[in-house]
Amino acid sequence: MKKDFLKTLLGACALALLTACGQGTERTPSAYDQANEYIEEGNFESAMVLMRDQLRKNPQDQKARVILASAHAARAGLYVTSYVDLAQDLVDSAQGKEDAYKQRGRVVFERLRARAQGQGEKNLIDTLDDFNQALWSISDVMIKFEKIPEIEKDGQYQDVVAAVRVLNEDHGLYGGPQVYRGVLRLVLFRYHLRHYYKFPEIKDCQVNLAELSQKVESFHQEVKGLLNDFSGGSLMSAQSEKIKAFTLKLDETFSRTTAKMKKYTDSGEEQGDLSLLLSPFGVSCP
Amino acid sequence: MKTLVRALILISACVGVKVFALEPVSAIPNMFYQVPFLSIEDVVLGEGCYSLKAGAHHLDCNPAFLHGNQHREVRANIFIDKRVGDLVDSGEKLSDDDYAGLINKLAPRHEASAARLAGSLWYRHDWWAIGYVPLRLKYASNIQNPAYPQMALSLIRESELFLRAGVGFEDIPGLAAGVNLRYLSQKYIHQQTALFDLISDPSLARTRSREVFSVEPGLTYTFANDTWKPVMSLTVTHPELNPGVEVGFSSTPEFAHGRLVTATHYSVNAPGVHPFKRFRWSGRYDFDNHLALVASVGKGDYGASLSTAIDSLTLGVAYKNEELDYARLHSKSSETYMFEGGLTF
Repeated sequence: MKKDFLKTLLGACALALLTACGQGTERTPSAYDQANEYIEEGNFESAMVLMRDQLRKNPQDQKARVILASAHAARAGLYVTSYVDLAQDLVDSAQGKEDAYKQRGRVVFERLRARAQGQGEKNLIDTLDDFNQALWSISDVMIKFEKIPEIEKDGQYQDVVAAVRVLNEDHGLYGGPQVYRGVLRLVLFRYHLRHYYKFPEIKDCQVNLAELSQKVESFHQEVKGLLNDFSGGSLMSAQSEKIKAFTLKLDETFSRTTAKMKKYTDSGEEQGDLSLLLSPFGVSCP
Repeated sequence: MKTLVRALILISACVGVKVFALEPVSAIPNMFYQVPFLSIEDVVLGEGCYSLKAGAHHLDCNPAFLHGNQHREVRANIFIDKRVGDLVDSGEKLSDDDYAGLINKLAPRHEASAARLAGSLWYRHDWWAIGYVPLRLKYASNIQNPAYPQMALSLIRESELFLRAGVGFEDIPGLAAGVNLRYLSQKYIHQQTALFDLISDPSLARTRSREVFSVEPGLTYTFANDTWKPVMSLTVTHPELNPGVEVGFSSTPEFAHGRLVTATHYSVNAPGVHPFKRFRWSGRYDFDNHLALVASVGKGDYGASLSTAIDSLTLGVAYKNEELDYARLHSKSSETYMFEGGLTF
C-alpha cells in the first residue's frame, strides 16, 4: 500500500516537474528594450537608428515614436526627475486665475482708466488690460517655470524641436505620449520666452503695436497648443474637462486682446504711447 | 494525522495548475515567487532555503525537513530593512490606494531597489508547525530610460496563516515528505508601465487584492549511510501561479564536525529568471547553538546573516545584494541591510 502511495507520489511530482518546465520561458528583449538600454547608457544615436528603423517598418508604431522622441530629449539633457511634478501638477490643477486677477491685477487698470484722456488712451488701456488678464490666466504655468528644465545651447533646442516634430508626425497621439509632448513644448515655451517673446523695443514711450500684436498671437497659439496636449493627454475626464474649460477661457481672452489690437492698429495707430502706463509709477521712458 | 498529511501531499502534487495570471513585468524579480520568509535568514538564503535545513530557532522552508524534528518552540520575530521608513510609507499608500503618492515617490529615483520586512509568530511541535504572519511587505522597483521613464513596481502587502508538517516512511528510510498549507491575504501593485501613461491615466495603477489558499508539497531524501549526510530535496511552490519547482542537494562536510551545512540549489521553473540566476549556493555555519552564520551566493545575488540567541532573545543582522534585471539587457544592483529581533520559548 505504502509502495503504491510512493509510486503515485513520485509520479505526480515528476508530472508536476514536466508541466512546470515548459512554463518558464525567457522573454526575448525587444527592440524597444534595446533602445531604452542605449538611452540608459547615453548611446542616443544607436537608440535613434534602432527606432527609426522600427518606424520605417511600421510608421504607426507609437511606442517606437515615443522612444525616438525621448532619445532626442535625453540628448538635450531632459530627464524626468526635473519635470515630473510639473506635468502632474499641470494635469491636476490647471485652472483659471480670474479671481486672483479681479483682486489684484484689475485694480491697476481701473486706476489707469480713471486717468485716461480721450478714447485712444482708453482703447489702449483696454487692450493691455486684456493682455494682462491673459497673462494672469497662465500664471500657473509661469510660476512653475522654475521646475521646467532650461535649455541653453542651440543644439539642445534643436533636439527638443526634433523630439516634438517626431511626435507631431503621429496625428493620433493620445494619452501619455501626448502629455509628454506637452512637457516638451513647455520646455520650448520657456526657451521662446527668453529668446523670442521679448517686449518690443520702447523708444520715447512708443511701442510698435503691430509687432506686439503678432507676438501676442504667436504666444497665444503656443500656450493653446501645449494646453491642448495636457487636456487631450489626460484620460481622466474630470481633469481633461477642467483643462479644456481653462483653454477655452484663455482662448477667449487672447482673441479679445488680438481683436482689440487689430482694431487699434486698423484705426491708423501704429504706435502705442506707454507713458500713460508708466508715469503713475514714476518711471520715465527710455 | 500523518495519513491526512500524506493525502494532502498527494493532492497538492497534482494541483500544479495555473489559476492566477500576472501582468508581465520584466524589470524586477517577481515578488510573488519570494520564499515565504519569516526571518532574515530566509531572505538571505532566498530559494536556497528550500534545500537547506533550517538552523536552531528557525522554521524550515521545505516542510519535509520537519520530519524527525524533536523540538518544541514558540517564536515571535520581526525583521526590518534599512529602508523601513520608505517601506512602511509605501505600504500605507498601498492600503490607502494612493497611486499618485506612490508614483511621485518612485519617479525621481533613478535606481532599482528591493526591500522586505515581516513580523511573524509560530509554534513548532516536533514534526509540524503552525504560524501567523500579520504583516509581510515585499517591494521591488526599477526605472529605465530617464527621459521617458518605464517604471516597474511590485509592492505586496500580505498576511499569512500557515501549517507545515513533515513525515517519514518506514519502507524507505531516508525519504521524507512534507506539506505547507498557506492561506494568504494580499493587496498589491504589480506592473510595468510608462510614467507618462500613469500621469495621463492614474487609474492604470490599480491596487488589487486576492485571497489564496495554497498547498505546497516538499520531499527530501537523506543518504543515511554517507558520512557527509547528503540530502536531496524537492519543493513545489505557488501552485496558483506557474508553479515554482525547487530542487537542491545539501551535505554536511565531515571535516567541519557537523557545524557546516552547504546546499546547491536550482529553481527549475522561475518565470523570467535567467537560467544562470537559478543556481544558488548556500551554507550555514553554526559556531554553537547560539551563533550562526548563513551565506548565499547566486549570479548577481549574494548575502550573509549572523544570528544569535541569548536566553530567550534572538537577534540577527544581514546584508543582501541582489541584481534586478531590465529585460536581461541591463542590470542594476540593490543592496540592503536588515535587522531582526525576536523571542523564543
